[in-house]
Amino acid sequence: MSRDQTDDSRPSGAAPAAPASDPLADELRALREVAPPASLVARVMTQVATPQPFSLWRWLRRPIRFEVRLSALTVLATGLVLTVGATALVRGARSSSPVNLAARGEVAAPVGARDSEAEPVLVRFVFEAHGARRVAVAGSFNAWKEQVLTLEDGASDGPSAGVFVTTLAVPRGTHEYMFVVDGRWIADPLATERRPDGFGRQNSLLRL
Amino acid sequence: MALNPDQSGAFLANVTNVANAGNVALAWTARDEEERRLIASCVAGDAEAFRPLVIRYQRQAFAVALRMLGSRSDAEDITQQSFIDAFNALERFRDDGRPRAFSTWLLRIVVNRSKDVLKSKRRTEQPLERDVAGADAVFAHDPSDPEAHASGGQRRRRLEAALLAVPAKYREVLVLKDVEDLSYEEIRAILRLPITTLKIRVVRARAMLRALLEPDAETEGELR
Repeated sequence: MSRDQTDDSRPSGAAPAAPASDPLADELRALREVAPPASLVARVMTQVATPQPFSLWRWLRRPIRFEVRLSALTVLATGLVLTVGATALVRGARSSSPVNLAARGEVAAPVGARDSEAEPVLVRFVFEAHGARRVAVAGSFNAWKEQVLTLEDGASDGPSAGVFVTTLAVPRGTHEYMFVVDGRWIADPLATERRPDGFGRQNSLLRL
Repeated sequence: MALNPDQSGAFLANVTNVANAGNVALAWTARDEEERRLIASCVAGDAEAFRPLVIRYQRQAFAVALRMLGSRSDAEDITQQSFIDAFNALERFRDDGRPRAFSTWLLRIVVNRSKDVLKSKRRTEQPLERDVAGADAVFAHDPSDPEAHASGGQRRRRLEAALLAVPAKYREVLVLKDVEDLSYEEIRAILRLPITTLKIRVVRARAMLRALLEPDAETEGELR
């Protein structure tokens, strides 16, 4: 039984390269000489020729075969196209980043405008009322909730005496507002536009 | 069967020698190419293209099943069912450019189905119907000398019985290697075991077989 030490690559069924000296090996090899049943081929072929009933599971497991044949030239051309495409994509991605956009004036301008439209505008409300104890502002921008103004520091007879101020972030658009001075609703005397409030008075108009 | 330490040492030495032998890769042949075409035809719906494959491998498939099971009727059933299983699974078969891919795949089905039968019979504790030495067995040699024929037949029956007495995991490698004369590459593809494991099993299986045959040999000698 030294056959396996000589040639493992020999095709099955081929004659041994060297005669085996072991009688047991010969006897074992002789056991392969058996005759399959004469009807085996016919029985198998009858079975395989009979169409099987449809099985969804078998159909789902059925592999989908497709073949791709490429020449070396096609592979090279495809590789080149992919490389160029990938490079363009990378460059495009870099140029579309916010940092780069900001650096480029022509693109930054509309982006800045779009951003500023969405952002609220800081509006400084000023009301001069000598002797008033409390001044607030209320409008459509803060759901008509009184927002108290602060009395600016300054000498009682200086230019800023009796001046109440506050700075609010107001969304862009058109807003109506009023000052509330010691409980009395007063339209902004400095407002350029006013609109009737429906109760016989007028609200100041602020366009942003 | 108990093995003494000396025997184990000898096994390891043999295995080392075998492992050092070159394992040259099998070559893709025109036969592989033809089988690939036949399989493609089968998958395309031409069931008749399967016939040459059945004719080509029926002997080998049947012999492996017979030597594994020892029962001709079981071997017939297993062989037939293995071919049908193979046909039904041809769509999933991939040769991946491996030589003799179909035959090793088919034999894997045969071996696995044979093992299933052995397990099933062991579970139900039914003794195997071993009739390999019956009238249906076809012998390799048909000597003209009747005495030699009788002696050869007796020796063969003893060998068949001894082979069936070898545990299944050793018997399968012995059948594939020494009976069917397959290469270790092919056996690896069939059993999906490392070649070193296969070589160890072959060496041990041969030792088991010899040990099983030894008393017979002694008896034979005494008779002479």
